[in-house]
Amino acid sequence: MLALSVMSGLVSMPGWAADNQLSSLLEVELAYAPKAAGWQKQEIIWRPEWVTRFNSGARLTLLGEVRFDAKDELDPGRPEQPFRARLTKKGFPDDHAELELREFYLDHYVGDAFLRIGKQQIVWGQADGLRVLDVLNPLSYREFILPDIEHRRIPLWSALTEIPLANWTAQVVWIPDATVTESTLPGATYSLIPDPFAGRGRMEVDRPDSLAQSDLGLKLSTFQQGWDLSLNFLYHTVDDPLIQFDTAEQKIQAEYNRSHLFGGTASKPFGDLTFRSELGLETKKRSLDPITGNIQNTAVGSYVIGLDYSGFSDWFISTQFFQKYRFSAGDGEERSKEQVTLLIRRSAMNNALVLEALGIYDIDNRDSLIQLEAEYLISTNLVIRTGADLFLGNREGTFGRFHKESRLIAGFTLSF
Amino acid sequence: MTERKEHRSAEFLFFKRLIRYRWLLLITALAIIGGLASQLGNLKKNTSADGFISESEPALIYRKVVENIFNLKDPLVIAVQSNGASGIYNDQSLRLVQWLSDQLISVPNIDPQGITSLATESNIQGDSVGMEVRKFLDGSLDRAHIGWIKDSIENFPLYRGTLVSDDGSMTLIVAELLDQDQAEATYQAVLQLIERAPEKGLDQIHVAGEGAISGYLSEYIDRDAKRLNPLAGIIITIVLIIAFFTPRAAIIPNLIVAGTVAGTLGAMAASGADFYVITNGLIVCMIGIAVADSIHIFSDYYETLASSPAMSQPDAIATAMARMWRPVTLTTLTTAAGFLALYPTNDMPPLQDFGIFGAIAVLIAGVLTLFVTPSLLSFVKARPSRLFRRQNNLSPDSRVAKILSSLSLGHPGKVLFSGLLIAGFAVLGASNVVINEERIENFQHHEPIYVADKAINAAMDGTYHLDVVIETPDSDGIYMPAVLEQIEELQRFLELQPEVHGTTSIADYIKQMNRAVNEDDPEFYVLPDNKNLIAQLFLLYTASGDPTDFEERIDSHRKTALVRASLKTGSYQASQSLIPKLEHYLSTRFGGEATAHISGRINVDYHWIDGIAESHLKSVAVSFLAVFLMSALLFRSLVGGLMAAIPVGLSILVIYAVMGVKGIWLGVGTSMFAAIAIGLSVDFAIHTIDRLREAMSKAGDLTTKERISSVFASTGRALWFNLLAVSLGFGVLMTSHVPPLVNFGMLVALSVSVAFVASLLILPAITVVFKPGFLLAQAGSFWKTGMILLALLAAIALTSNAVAGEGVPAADTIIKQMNNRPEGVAVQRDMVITLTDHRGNSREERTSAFRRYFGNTKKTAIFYTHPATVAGTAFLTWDYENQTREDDQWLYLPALRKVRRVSASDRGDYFLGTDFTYEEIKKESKIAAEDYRFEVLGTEEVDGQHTWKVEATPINEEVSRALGYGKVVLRIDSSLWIPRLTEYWDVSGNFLKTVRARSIEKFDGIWAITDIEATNKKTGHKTRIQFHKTDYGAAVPPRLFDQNALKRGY
Repeated sequence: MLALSVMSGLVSMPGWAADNQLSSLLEVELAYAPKAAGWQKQEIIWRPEWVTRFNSGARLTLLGEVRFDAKDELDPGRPEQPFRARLTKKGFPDDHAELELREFYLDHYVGDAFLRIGKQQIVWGQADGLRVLDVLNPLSYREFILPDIEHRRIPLWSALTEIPLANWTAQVVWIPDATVTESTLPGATYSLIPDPFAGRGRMEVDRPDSLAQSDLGLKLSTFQQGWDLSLNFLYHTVDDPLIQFDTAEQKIQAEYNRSHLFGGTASKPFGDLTFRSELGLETKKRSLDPITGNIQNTAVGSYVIGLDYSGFSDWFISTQFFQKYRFSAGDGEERSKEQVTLLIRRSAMNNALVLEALGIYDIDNRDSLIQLEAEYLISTNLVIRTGADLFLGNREGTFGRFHKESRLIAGFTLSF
Repeated sequence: MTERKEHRSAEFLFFKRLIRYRWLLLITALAIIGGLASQLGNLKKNTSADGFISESEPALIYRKVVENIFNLKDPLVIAVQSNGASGIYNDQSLRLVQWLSDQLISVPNIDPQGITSLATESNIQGDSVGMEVRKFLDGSLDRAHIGWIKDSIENFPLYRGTLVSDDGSMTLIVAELLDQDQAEATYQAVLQLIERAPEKGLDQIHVAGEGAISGYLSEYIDRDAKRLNPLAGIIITIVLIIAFFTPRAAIIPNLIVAGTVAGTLGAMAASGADFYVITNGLIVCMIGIAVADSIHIFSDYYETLASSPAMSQPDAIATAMARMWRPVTLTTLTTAAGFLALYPTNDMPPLQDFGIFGAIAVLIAGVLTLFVTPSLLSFVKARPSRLFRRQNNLSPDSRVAKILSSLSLGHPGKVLFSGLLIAGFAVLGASNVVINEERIENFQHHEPIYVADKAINAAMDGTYHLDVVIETPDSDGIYMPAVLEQIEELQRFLELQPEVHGTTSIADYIKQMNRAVNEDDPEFYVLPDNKNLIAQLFLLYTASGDPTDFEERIDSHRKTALVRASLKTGSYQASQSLIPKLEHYLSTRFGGEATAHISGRINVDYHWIDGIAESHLKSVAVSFLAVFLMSALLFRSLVGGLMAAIPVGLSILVIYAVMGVKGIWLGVGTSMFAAIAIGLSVDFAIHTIDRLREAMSKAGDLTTKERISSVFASTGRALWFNLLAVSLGFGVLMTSHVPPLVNFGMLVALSVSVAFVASLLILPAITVVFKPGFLLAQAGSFWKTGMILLALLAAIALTSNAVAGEGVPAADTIIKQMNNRPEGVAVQRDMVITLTDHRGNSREERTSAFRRYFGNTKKTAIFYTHPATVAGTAFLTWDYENQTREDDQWLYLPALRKVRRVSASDRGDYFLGTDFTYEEIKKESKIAAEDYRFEVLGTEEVDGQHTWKVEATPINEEVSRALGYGKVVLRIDSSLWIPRLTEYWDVSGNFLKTVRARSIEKFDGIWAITDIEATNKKTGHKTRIQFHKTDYGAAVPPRLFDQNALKRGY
């Protein structure tokens, strides 16, 4: 609130603003699920961006999002948004429309130190799509993991400063916003929360208090001998909930715990190959043993190793291996979980046409997601695209469970 | 003399017909010369000192940038010298300084803000509030005040030696000029002011300084030449009168001279070429050249009339012309070739123009002599010269020829041996020639400005300046203690050099201020180690002093500072020793937080004079070669070419020997003597060989010696007067007030004299000893000789880069110039990238781009701003000087919100969909020299500009594949060193793309491309990048080039 009022004050002060820029993206996207024989979405999204540069060197950025979905299948009705803190909630004027202040932050340099205060995304790590250290902002699973991660992260009210220290840069992060991972409620297309009460149950989210249970993080990054290196530490609330069911009161309870995350990243190119790696250790994660029903507390280590290859002109090939390991696990729990990804991108016609195929394969469940996309820049301001999101494999697996939701997509983006 | 028969040859008939159409010829000649002369009003004089330097000389460009930053000009220096016991520390001298300083403000062309003296400067000392800045001469000049001034100066190292001499006997008033081209008038105005100065008493006043010298010198030479040119004309007229003793032989050659001068200067005006100081020398040359041909024609004409008194005037003229057209044409072509050699072998515009217009003058003189002289002569009746009637008496001139003849014919072997011996000694003497230039030495030693210069430089640290500019990337960067320490160390280094007698910099002021705020304790005459404290010292200074006091030492943003070294001499030899050492020091000690570059007039002079030795050798070699080739072709014999070259070569060698022995410097003025001397000297050889050939091939039973003797009798006389005309014409220069002109006149006169003697001694001796076939009517084939010469030329071109086509620099030199093109420490600009496919569909992207050097590492950050679909995308590259180290590159994609490390190994990949590769974006119209082998293909005009066409071939297949090119052909602008058009072939040898610079502009003294287009010939796709808001002075913060900054934006 304090930051908001400071920023409001800054904007309203006459003579401070030096330069204002407004730009917008208008996206129209249709998704049709042949197996479900229905449209998943028919949406129009307007994403305005307002940037004000002040004479002092400060910069204020506002990103909004107005969404109108004619189908309203992904997040039906006007959800209560129990996972979001009050100031982070979206607005639902009606069942089909959503309004969200996506990002609103002030940038300023104090000496050589960089400061960003406001609602923002803070991103750690070197992996693409796989989360080891990129856990500062919770995700929205409204559309599972299909959209760009930029649109899946929930920006939080937070403060970040980056201070250069000789050859290092120290990033200190404070996130008082206690919003957690947002899963759509039972009944939505991509709901991740099981509903044993067939729609009669009540969702109770025991979210931590904003401000009182803030997240605090420190990242030290450097460039040494050609290596991009970082060391990370985060004291935070684990955004993924422990789901419990109270059959007596027909309650679905989501609870959260605090934890320490230690980690680091390293990347370096070797000729045409770029090596990326990310390692993290979460000191406490809780899970429910599906057999015993006991709650397991365990430390979880995870890492990603990635290789990017750009040896062929206009081609980009990237693969990643991800592994998560529970240091203690219940009888019904897997100790480790592995996934591999493969991204193949081909640009042609001076980048006017981009073809992309992304596959994520879950080794344990033997299921996968394959995303195909073709994007063509018709003119400076108009991009058209089409593609498919395909869920394959084990019907109980992470991806396979959505096999009916495999879809064809088409759309365009107009910028102005 | 035997009676001459009319030549009924084709040549004779031609000239007979020519005389018939004389009116038409004269009207045509008058119209052409009149037309050219009508342009004379447009002739621009350029007497500026910088006129000698090519505008594209990087040292000159940089110096102008530095002058703008620090408001520097070459100053006029007035010294007040007092020989009393207290030196200038007496009320009279100080009042004089005050009066002069006050009065100088009203002298036209003196910058009122640019006067520095005891009357304008202040002392910095401690007081109760910390620091007091008090003007030296404020208040009454009583004993106590004068004592305070003396103490203050002695305690202020910055002023000792620069403002007041160490012994206190002299003080300077330094006055900067607003317009350097008005220096002479200002100098005179200041001298008049000094005449009016009251109370001079025992004081002496001197006026000198680089501004006065360089500005005044041009006027000084110009004025001297104006006096000498008419004198040369008079002397030559006298020679003509003595030679022929007829009005027609005196008037007609003078008309040819007038036509040649008017036509050549008119051509200069019409072409927009400037009239430089040295162009005055061209006028003397024109007089000599135009008269020489006339002497030969008139000699033959009078010989014809003497041998055939009954011959009609037209027949006598036609007979003489039929005999003389050939040698006149030969000498015209060889002399023109000699002059023309100056053009491609010199970088200095005045010398290049001298070569071109010298050649034009020779051609005009030749054409006028061949066509106008017979036409004019035909208007008067045939009347023999009395001098030619007394043919049986040996006149003094033919007596000289006879002596030479008896020597060469009597002892041909000894003559040839002596010639070889002289050549050997001359080579030894020539090895002692010293390359040097010093402007003050252009004045006679009794000139007041010379006396003043010596007196001031004896007493003070020196009036010649070498500047080092220290640049830091950020505002207030100079306040960094580490940077100031580097400056202080640099000063220490400079002061250890024998050529340097003192240095000043902002560090001196800071130390003085630090001492002042510490109760004037000498122990505090050190640099504070705190940036904030230094800034506070300046703030404190402004409380009682003028903040602009430091503008000549530090810029207003405190990013750039000037370290100035004082030298007592401005000679090239001093700078030749000092500047390489300084360059090495700066390259090893600077490059981190601060960079350092050399500037100042000393540096500019060093760089352009440095090229004199090379260009001189080239011009001599090319001139000599041109004369040889032309002679060989015209005589259709290589031996003929060699024979023509021998007297010329010997005369040049002798001149070098004289220079070496007499200690005459090879400088700007003397550097062009050789090419001119070659052009003039060859006349003697050509005339002699031509006559020898005629005599040797004539039918009859005469012996070789008898045949040669007849040559001496006729041509010897003409050559003698030819020598007199040219040597006396140039000899006039020996009465000049300008020592280099004296040397120049003496050297040319001496060289033609040597050529004369050598022609009449050595050439007959060779004829006697070797009996060359071409002299015996064994005419060779023009084409055969031409082919042999072509083969010879090709062999020379292959084995020596010195020939390098027509003055084309070596390919590596061109590439080095291009890669050394200044691009500033940092630059900020916006780019509009327009991508157009073969159907004409286009899309536009906009970016903001920043580039900055961190030592030798070049970092570039590009932020996309438009359209919104790509806005936020950012690219960062670190390009290391060590080419074996791969670049580091990062890409920020907003969709990921992550900075991704990207491989930099594919330099040949296209940059984000454009038709420029990553390598090209990074190199900014330069090229990685180590990747290619270069070859100059020639020159080409692109967009109306002269360019060097250079082919670049990758050094091996691996590099070729990495870059994506099998061959690159660049057209590099020869003055801006920017490629205007570049063509690329792919690795398979197919034509791939072109890159054209559509617009080039200058920002902050730096030339930069503002519009560039790449067209892919295979796909038809085009990328055009337009640069806007280019700012080389922008504060580009280092933080922009941090990986984390990519996601922050700019």
